[in-house]
Amino acid sequence: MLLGIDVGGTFTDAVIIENGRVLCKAKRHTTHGNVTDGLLAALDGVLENSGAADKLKRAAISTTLVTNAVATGRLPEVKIFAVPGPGFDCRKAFPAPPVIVEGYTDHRGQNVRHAKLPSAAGDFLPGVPAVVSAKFSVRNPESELALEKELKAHGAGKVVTGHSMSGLLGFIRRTNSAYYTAATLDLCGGFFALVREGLKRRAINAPLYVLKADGGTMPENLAARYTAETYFTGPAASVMGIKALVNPGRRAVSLDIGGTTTDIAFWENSRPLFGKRGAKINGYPTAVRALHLSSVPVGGDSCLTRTESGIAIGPRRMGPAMALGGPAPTLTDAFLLLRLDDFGDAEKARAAMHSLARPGETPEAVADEVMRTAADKIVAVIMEMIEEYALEPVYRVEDVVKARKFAPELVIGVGGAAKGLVPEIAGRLGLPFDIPADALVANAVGAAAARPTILGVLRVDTALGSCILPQAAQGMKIDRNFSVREGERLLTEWLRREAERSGVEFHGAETVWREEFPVIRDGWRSGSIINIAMQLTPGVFFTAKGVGGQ
Amino acid sequence: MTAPLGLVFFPAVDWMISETHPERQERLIYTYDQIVEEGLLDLAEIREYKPRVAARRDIERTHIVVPDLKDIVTDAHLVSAGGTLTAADAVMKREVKRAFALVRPPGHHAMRVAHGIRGFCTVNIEAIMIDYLRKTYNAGRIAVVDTDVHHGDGTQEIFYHDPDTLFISFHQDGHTLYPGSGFMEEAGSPYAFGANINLPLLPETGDRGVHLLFDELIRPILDDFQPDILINSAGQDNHYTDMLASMQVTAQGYARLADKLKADIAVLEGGYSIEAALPYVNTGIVLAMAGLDYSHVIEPDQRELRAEGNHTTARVAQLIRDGRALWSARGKLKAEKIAKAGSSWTRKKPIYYDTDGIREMQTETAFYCPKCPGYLTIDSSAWGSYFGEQSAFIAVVWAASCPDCGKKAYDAVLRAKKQGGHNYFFVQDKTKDLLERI
Repeated sequence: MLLGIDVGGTFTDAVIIENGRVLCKAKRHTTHGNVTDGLLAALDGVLENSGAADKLKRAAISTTLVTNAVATGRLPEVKIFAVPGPGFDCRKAFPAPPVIVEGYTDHRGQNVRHAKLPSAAGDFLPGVPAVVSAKFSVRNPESELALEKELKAHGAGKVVTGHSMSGLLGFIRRTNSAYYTAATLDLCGGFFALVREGLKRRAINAPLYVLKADGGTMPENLAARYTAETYFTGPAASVMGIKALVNPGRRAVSLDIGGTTTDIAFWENSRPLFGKRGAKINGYPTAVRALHLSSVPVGGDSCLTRTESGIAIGPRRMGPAMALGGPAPTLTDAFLLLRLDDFGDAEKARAAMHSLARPGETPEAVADEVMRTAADKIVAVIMEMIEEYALEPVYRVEDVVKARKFAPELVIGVGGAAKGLVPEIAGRLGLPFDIPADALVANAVGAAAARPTILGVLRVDTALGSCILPQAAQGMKIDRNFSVREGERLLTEWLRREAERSGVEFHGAETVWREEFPVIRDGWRSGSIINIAMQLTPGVFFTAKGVGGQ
Repeated sequence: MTAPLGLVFFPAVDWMISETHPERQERLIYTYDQIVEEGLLDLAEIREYKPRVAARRDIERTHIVVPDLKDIVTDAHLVSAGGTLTAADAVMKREVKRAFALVRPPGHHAMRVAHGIRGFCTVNIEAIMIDYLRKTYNAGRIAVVDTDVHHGDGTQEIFYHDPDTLFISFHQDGHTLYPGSGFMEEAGSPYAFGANINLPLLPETGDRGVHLLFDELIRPILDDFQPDILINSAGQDNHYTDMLASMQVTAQGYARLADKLKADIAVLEGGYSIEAALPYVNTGIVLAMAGLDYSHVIEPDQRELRAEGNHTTARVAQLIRDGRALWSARGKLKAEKIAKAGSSWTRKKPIYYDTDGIREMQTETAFYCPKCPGYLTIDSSAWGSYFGEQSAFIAVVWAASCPDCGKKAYDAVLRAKKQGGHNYFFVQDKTKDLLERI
């Protein structure tokens, strides 16, 4: 049995899954002052029906904690020590002004000038979390490691290094990831302790996992170190829920139509598509790997206003639907009147639509217009996403010449307002649709079902005789004949060890990409450069069979 | 929103001429690393574009490929040429203020008639872009400043008869470097006299000399010509570490030049110091074109950089004097040349394709007309091509040619065909935007 918890802005959901089926589910209000209360309420909701506390193999949680902390701007002070060397002036690229440290490592990882901390750097350090980030530290982390040591000697609080965030190129992205990690270490540490405490109070001793932005999970001990990865996990949770509930084998568009937004994802070969570079946090690009998602401010609670040209939907939310006692007409009121939804006071819904009617217009006609407008908005964003995806740069001739547009064959809907809107949207696109049962708790299902993911990157330069696994700050000498195959074996081994170290069951690794370039010097092949990225095979523990669908 | 810079970045990491050739997969991977590590593609000032695939028509608007396009032009060439068109569209549609097509394979040694690869170039991606700009946006006056260390002989050849395309190339003196041409006497055919300006520099010229030449000669000429569109053929092999040439320009030198030039569109050409130069020079040019601070872009290793000597400065001073004289007298000289030429002007050209080992002999005749720019015929024979010996007779009808000249051009080709002696016959008819096989 698996437990999934989604602590959202409005609701805290919990589900228990057994043999690929949602055994029980509970939806409770999130308690903002003390999250544990809402969490316990939701746990009680599922436990009283199943009595399964000791049969749970895993508890996984998806949370907006980091998202909210960033949004409210309540982050502690973090000192950034950056080693940019020559190049772009990065002083304004980070959420906090950096201390620039002299030194340089070049693009092949050769330490040209050793980094040296300015003498005054230690003055303001004691207890303050620090970030150390150097350009090309993923090719050679030496300078970051040296500075980390120096800062600790000066009494710095926790030190987060750029190379530990990601093995991929992107100095500014790694620095920003490290910044948001350093800034939320204490917050997340405290929160996970609270959750663990709550679970314990309900006699749940299963290991705790936390959802990541890439739709995978990580065990609590890793989550407490890589906190920035838990940013933006709400949509990722729903995407993994869709994976568990529908597992679309065809190219598909999935829509999670919630209270205030609709999150759109694309699917191919039973997998969600990824964004090319990484998530932005508060406008700052980071190395946090994330799904290719768009968010439209259209949801069941989006309030409606009459304008000269038609009806405006959202982006504000004033409260629940009028049919449920809210103050202003919403999308849900329109669905209720059109009998696309069935809970709430139909008369109040009619009144809500009437309040938007032009002279002589029936409330039903208004509801119809609302629905068409909402569908238009979402379809427009889907089309934009298809265009954007086609325009994503690629760097190989073959990828340009053989490029095909993403052409979905199915629309999947989850979330509270899916039933109302998805048939209309699918109709516009001329596609069939699927709204699985349990679509209302897709996020919690996603959290319960998502497998752990770890991405590892290996850089091999046989001309220099070097091989490095930047995240592990692990380098080794290799010979000229080192091959891609050997690299993959090395990386698989590392992933296996990482998994074991953090208590994750290793169930195989897959190559995300690999490239090899011959290095030619003076007319001779002096070696090759090999870049490989591999990950624990992502996915879900189960896919629902015979559950949901229509 | 109009971004300051559109960047069409296409390193073609799966294309090479041959494994050890300078034009191999490895060429732009260090540049790619630097650009991605610097985070340039994430900046709000820079909008990245995916190159499109150029159509056959786009290539044949400029080139006559013998025997046919598909015989020597690969997908990689269609993408790099397409990349320049993407850059041109982004600027002309005002999506971006300027654009940089950081693409390969390069093109500035490719001439109008192409039998194979010369100087690593198969099709001339800038020329294709210029012809596209004229066709699609009705562009009037275009200036090209070629900052590659090699003379841009292909671009020169293609626009040699066009008074509205000003081609300025500074490069290492042809006595000491491929392709051996690019002297000031090559100033354009009579009707376009003065629209082709070559500035051969002595080896070891560096930032100081190049900037002096730019400030004192190139800038004033550009100000006088007032182009509607300014293009930079942005080769990077004047760099002090380039192993194919002997100049002393630095990344700062190139970035400052890009900053002063303020080209509407830049197109990468050569540059084969793939580790020590390209990552820094490209970062510098990208930042400068995006209006960002580039002052920190300095090569970590400047050991090979030497001070400029007096002899290089003396050559620069000489070029400034001669260039000014040519530019100010060009109207008078042009009239004299036209008067002397009469109704036609012919040049015979041996063309060597170093990359492919092909030898071509061309007789090019520009026919003049009182009503229009006339037309052009080309008699081309090549030895050592993929198909052995091959020859073509070609006529070019200019976009502004009158119907009479159009007819004469077709007649010339038909006449040649009747006479025999050539394998292939073409009319490149710019009034119809078509390359016809006869």
